[in-house]
Amino acid sequence: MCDFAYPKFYKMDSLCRLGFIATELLLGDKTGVEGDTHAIVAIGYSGSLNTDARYCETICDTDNYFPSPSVFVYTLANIVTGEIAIRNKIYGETSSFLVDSYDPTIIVNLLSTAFADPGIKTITGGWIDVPPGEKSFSLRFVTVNRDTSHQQIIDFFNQYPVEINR
Amino acid sequence: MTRLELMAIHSVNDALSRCDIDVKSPGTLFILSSTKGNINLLDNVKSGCDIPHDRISLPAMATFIARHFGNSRQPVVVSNACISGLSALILAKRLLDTHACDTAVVIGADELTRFTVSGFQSFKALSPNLCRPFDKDRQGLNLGEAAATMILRRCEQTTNGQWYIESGSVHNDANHISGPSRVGEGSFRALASVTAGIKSSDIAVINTHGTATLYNDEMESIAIDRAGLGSVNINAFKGYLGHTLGAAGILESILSMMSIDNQMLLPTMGFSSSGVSRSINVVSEKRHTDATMFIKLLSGFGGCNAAARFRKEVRS
Repeated sequence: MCDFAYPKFYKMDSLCRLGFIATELLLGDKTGVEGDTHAIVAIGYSGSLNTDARYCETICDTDNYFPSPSVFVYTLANIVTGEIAIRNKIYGETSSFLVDSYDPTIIVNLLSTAFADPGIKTITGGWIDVPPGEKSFSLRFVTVNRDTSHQQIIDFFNQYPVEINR
Repeated sequence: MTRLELMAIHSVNDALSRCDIDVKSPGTLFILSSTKGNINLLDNVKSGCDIPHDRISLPAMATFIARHFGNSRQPVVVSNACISGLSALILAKRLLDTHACDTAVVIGADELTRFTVSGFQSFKALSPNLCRPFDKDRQGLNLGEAAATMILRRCEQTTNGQWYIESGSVHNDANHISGPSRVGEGSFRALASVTAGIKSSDIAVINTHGTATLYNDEMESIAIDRAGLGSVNINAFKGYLGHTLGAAGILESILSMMSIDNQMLLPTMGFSSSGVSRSINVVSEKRHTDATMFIKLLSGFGGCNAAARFRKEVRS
């Protein structure tokens, strides 16, 4: 099911690797999903803070100053959605939202805003968070279509609560 | 509070002074658009400050701002690289349309920091001179900083003289995380979506991303041409303001609205002769317009692209 003969994987930061593995598992066989009508929506708390700290180490000391574009690009919360789009040839919406708590109703509201675009038939996304230090992570990803009820998705997120590591 | 929070709060205060909303109401949602927020708090040199360290996180910064205005609802941060501002306005429109909120205070804010300057420098994306969007001598972008606020409300009926966001669209290039698509795929799709069924003569202007990097401006010219909009006026504001990152979508949309309120199109500062492969109609001097609709276009790292259609209701 998972084919990791994908060199870009090894350049990714932890947040992107996590999103990548999740979508390899969810979209691996591409059943019922077309790139033109699919959206990726990532919701979390920490965004890119983990990589921000790594990048900061390359610029904080003027005598040891070595900023690198390959690290800097991952200091944006939405790169994970772009990596998933590239891998799966997804041309629909990609969005990244950050919130202060794991609230299933808010997560589902944000996730389903992509359906406001009449061209979107399916969405993969949900909660994804890698706090600074990489000691833990949280991931709650689903694929939904227009027939999936809000309550069904809310129930899923309620079933697997997340404690935010501030 | 941090300097950036102060900038954002000033901007919200100014926006609130111009309209009559209940900012404390549970129906009012704060949306913050930012790429790096309080990233300056990471800088060890400044760690002597008394700001709680968790405010480096974007949601904590957004919550601080909402609470400052007495709003107790959980805010949403949109962090979609350089399209964040437009993504945030599109999100606000959608949440208003579905009655998830009645009013949205949409703030875009990013400041100049060592963090972002060094990063763009490492990409060799910065121009040594003032930036020149779409020009043959363009050498890259200038970074800027800003806080800008737009307040959106759901309206059952249109009102003469009011501005509306009629349509918004986000599409990915599925091509590269740090380079624009060579065929302008995502921007083309977003443009095609928001201009479907619209006569191009009704569009006053497409206010582009126009960062003045070689690749961005070329990509946008291809997307505009592919969408059949090569004859429509286009302009870019990065020559006046620099690239204000998370604020850009909101700030540049506000300026486009103000210029059309005055029936004119602002010239593209820095542009003198075209340096892109497609034939596009760059506004190089102030132009008069009677049209009241414009398109805002942005693209960003992660391969994301956004377009939105704004229209002012004008009854004769």
